[in-house]
Amino acid sequence: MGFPVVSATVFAPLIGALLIMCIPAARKEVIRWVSAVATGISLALSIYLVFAYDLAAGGVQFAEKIDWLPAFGVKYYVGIDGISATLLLLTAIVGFTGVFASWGIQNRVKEYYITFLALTFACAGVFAAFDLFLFFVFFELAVLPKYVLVAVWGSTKKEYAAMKLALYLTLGGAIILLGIFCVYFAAGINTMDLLELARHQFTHNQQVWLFALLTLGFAVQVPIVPLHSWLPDAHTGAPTAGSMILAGVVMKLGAYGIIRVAIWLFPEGAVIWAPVVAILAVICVIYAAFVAMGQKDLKYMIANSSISHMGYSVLGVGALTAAALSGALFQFFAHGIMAALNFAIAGMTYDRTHTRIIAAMGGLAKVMPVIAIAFAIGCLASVGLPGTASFWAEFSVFVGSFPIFPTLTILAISGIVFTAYYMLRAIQRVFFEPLRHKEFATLSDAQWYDWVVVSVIIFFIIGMGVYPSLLMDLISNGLSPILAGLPEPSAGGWLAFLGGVQ
Amino acid sequence: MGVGLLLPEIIACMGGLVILTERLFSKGEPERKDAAWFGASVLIIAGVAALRLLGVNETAFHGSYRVDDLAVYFKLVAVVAGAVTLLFAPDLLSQRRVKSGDFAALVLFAATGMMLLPSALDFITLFISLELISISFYVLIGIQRGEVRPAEAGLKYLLLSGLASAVLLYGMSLIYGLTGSTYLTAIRQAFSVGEWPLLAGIGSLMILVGLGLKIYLVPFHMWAPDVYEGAPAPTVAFLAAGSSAAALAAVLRLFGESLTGLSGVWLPVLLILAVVTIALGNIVALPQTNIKRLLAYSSIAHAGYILLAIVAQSSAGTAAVMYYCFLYAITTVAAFGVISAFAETSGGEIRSFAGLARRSPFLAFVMLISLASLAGIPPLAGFMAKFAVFAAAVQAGYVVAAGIALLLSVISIYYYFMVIRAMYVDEPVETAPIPCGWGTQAALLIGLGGIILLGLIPWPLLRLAQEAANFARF
Repeated sequence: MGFPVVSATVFAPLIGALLIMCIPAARKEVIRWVSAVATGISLALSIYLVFAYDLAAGGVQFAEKIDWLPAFGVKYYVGIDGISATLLLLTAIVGFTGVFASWGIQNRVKEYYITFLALTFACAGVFAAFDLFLFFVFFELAVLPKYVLVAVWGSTKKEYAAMKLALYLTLGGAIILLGIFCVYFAAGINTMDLLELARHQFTHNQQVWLFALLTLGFAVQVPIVPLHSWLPDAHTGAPTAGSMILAGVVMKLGAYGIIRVAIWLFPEGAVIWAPVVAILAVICVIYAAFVAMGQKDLKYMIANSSISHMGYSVLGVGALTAAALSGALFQFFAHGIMAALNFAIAGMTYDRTHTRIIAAMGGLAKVMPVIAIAFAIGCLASVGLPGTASFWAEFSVFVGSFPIFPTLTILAISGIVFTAYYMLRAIQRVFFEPLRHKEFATLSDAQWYDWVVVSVIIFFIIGMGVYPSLLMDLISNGLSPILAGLPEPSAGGWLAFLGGVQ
Repeated sequence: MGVGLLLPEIIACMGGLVILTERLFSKGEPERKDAAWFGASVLIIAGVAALRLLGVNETAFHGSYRVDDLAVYFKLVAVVAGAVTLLFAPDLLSQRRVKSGDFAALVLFAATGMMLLPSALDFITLFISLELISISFYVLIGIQRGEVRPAEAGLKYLLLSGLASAVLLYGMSLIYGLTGSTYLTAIRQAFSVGEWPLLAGIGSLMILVGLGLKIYLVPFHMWAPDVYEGAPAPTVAFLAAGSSAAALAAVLRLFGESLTGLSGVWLPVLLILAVVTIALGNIVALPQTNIKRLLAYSSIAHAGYILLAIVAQSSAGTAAVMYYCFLYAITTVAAFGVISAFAETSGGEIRSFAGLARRSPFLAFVMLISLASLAGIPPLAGFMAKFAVFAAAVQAGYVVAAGIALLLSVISIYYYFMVIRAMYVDEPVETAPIPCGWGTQAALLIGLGGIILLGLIPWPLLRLAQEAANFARF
């Protein structure tokens, strides 16, 4: 076995965190650079993995298997397929830019970066794991850093928000763990290897109930309405980089679990429950959009818009067609970087104005043009403007879902209108009206570290908007074993899924 | 092997007698800590002697004493719990003007009982071993003379434990009367075929009640919060880690192997009580403001999880119980090590933990890892233990009970995280670092290393437990 690239990608942030533990707390600049280098290594390796993945061969590549708990058939089994490669890249982008977005933090810098890197590590681990037990270990490992991040460096109602987050996520985790036990004993082949479990033929009844159980557990994390109430509080309460990674990566863990575990292992169950999932998805899209429209607080607005946007992904999960699922997964990536950008901007404006109330700002574009332009790009990406990554994601979801659920898809598409309304209104109120407060006239524009955040994320938003095939081919390649179990497996690249778009 | 079978117990007992004799001839300043170090070394030697008994599988004294891997495993739990406790105990005891020689001798006697109990294959040996543990703890709990709380806790434990012993004896006498034997093997055969009278079922339930006190079974758990709060932290660490593990070994012998014929009576009772124990432990822990009372209810909840594995009635369940006991012991000892170093000087209120991360980062980190392990956050030891237990329960078909238990365990996140919050989020009231002797530091490092390493590398210990469980049938 050569150099363990996947493990290195996953563990680089953890090693960074361990190094930081040994650095005195007063050396803040050193701590920041160590974090930047650790996440930078992760980013470089994940870009390498995206290009090094052999599409023709498919399957799990760069696999590393070590026996861990043979009594339960548990292995340390990490690797990448097309889906994992894409999402590892997402995690690395958000992790890397998150370090720079937190550059301004002065309070307990050492503990902050340790927690942040630990969270990045856990998320990356979830995406790289191909063993159900390992997957769960990483999944649950993320809870403690999330709690600490929100509880220590959060802003409004931070302790309430942090505890609510911890309880909800652990509840989801408990349900998933029960599901994992049932999967393990129902299969009865003494393995937690996802590939082997996917090959096992579960009976129809097992599929129906295990799909429901696991999806219920993952739904808490997505979150799917009505299990969503922890999210706005947590995302708003978190510090900037915390919100970035929560909205950008952590939110994807749940939906990723549904696709990777529930749909892959229990395709028949997925078909039975699909209408329920789709209806809940549309409720998510519309309900959260309405809530977002009513928000006065910029971060609450972005948090609710995240729920709404993840609703598109869930709709794709419900539709179960190739185009819809690849759109859903591409939406993970597109929404991930876009939400990270929006939260980063919200953090930058808050650091300067010390308010998050939309109506209290105004005319900031004159004093901070770079941040204003970045936010405009983030908003347009939110709306799904062609040329941004989100366009392809949403387009693909809608094209894939329409033949299955025409009415629901039309309802979901209406979500775009609401998004346009609240996003554009926010830009207008925050950045483009006359400068209402004199004291804001002296605020500084983007610092060099803000430039890093903004330019890296916008590079990917536009880059993937112009050249979506890079990741879309990976995603559709990774989906093919999952689609094989579904009633209408289809072959070919993602453009073929879309039905001949040229 | 002859007397070699009893070598670990003989070493521990002789060590205790040596310390007592030395106390007769010395003035014994309370500051002296060498007796505790001596006690810890004796226990380590006893542990090495026990390790050499792995794979022996012999029965002695006409079938009343058995050394198999299960027994050796539980002897090792007692040794580890006792030795680590003796490492950090003297720092606190010298502050309280308790002579560490007294403490060490009693810990060694209790440890002797804990090593005898898993080997006991007849009622008499079993009862005597159990009483040896109880009597040592009557003194250990109230060892701070002249103070009200420890004395009250000691008396409470004495009364309830005495009552439990009486019920246990009555139950044993009923079984003896029906079968004409005190040997567990003979009792197993007597109940394995045909009809058995109602009295036998009642007898088995009385034995369950008698042991229920030691294993924190609700509703016989009432003593735990008061004793935890009143007794000095080292005593509580050894009580929580060692005594319940030894009692669980006896439960495994009795209910897992000997009284299986009567399982129609006690199994449903135990199943319901296990779920009630988990529910009560977790829910009542919520409003606690004292860290020791909180951990008492947490112990109760954990006892409930373990009982689920006993209910499973399989060798996987037995292995899960054994595995859980070891990991729980190491985690509890680490947590009480921190409490001993810190909270004892400040009354043990959770709010006095405020800002501990800035006062003593090491203490706070050990506490964080112990609590995270108790909360079952992977990949720490506590998670692996919970995983094994719930896996055994689900495998045996108790999916609903395991589901309820898992959902109830979510509640525990709240109270464990409250303590973490106090340590890491709240502003410190005082800023002075906590003094921490090298014995305490060594004990905490052992605990920390154990929690992390046994979580990351769970296989060797679990395999030991599984093989022991497979051979434990007699």
